Amino acid sequence: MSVLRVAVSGMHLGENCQPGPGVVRSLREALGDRVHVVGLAYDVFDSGLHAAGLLDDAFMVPYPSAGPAAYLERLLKIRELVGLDVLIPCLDVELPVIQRITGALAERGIHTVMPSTDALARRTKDQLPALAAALGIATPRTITVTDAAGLAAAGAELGYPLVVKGPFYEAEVTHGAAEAQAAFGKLAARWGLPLLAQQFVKGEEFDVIALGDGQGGVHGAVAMRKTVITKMGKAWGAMTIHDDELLDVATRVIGALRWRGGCEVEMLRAPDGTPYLIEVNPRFPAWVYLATAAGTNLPHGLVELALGRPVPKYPPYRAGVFYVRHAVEACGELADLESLMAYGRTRRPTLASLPELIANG
Amino acid sequence: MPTPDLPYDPAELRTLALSDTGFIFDPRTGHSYSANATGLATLAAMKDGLDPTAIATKLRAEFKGGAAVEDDVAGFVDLLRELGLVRARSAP
Repeated sequence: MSVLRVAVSGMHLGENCQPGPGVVRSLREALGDRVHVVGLAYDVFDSGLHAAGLLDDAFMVPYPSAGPAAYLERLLKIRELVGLDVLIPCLDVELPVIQRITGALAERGIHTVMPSTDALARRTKDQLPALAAALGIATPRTITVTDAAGLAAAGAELGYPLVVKGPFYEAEVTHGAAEAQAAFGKLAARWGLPLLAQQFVKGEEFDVIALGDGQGGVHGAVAMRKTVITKMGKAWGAMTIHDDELLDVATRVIGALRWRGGCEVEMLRAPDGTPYLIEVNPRFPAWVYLATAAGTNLPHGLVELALGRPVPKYPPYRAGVFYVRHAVEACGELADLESLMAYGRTRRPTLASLPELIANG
Repeated sequence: MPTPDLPYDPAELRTLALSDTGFIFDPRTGHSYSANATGLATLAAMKDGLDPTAIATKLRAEFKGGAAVEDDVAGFVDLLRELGLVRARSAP
């Protein structure tokens, strides 16, 4: 029996949950003991590193800001130690870096599924209005802002409430100029400029997860309605639904981008029924396992796509499947931290001891 | 028999999942509801395309209702509209 070695990043389930654990859970469900999962982490306290039974192995990796060369060097070292067949990046900020090293990875037998550079650029928050307009899809009016004066002008034009959004993550709904300026300062300090000021649209929040084939088609897609939303706007609970209109919007967006790989299309449905396109996230969302539970295991399909094999045809998914997140404490010992901090690798009970890790790098 | 003059479109209700327990699930939105026995019987009759008068007659026979059953059915249809389960449609 050949065992597939898959590296997955985005391993933290915190206030802002990352997709890695859901991807891993989906792969285990499809492949059982035919998959060996290697977690990639940026922080020794990434929760997935300490969750019992989630990972077979895990390594610390440099932040994407260290650049493609450093990232490639680390991935090749991990491959040398444990072998790697497929890499599934689960964080937005990793994608531009990994795009630049996909060729080098492929030469060494590490397969990835990535959207094109053009597709990645056309779905960014500042470019989304143009994409939506070209497809005849409604989207909130959005203005790029780089300073306080620009934000004030945007507030005057779009009115309040006004959504102030970071370029990659985070958004705050503000109800007046002072609140907007405070959000601007906070988000600019965290994510840099420019930020976006967006018209507030009231409505229920829906998401579609999908796996694009890169040719304009979709291997599988699942729609959900958020049922529990955190202060950060994240779905702490959701339920799968059958809404042809939302699936149609998502399919058209993915088709126009010729998206290859996993993605999430976020939408709002206004009280008059109009679906508004809010965001296109360039990777599977943290709730990816909900789709698996509903019968559409997209991470497994992505692995097949990466390996150049046919993606299994998905049967219709079930509506009414729901999740509610259940946070638990993942505990560790000092030796776990020591191993991660000193050697950049998790301490595994199946491996002997730290000296062996030292010897193996 | 269904008629085009109904104040609701039975087709809109046919996607609803109704359980004998009174649990109702709308797969288009993910919203769920609960109904008592008369509500459930009313919904089932609407799905079958019965008009409000026929539904009232059916309810009166099944549940021994009083004279105000027609008003109750009309109120129930209004409630379904408010919940978005049926869209507004001109009464005949």
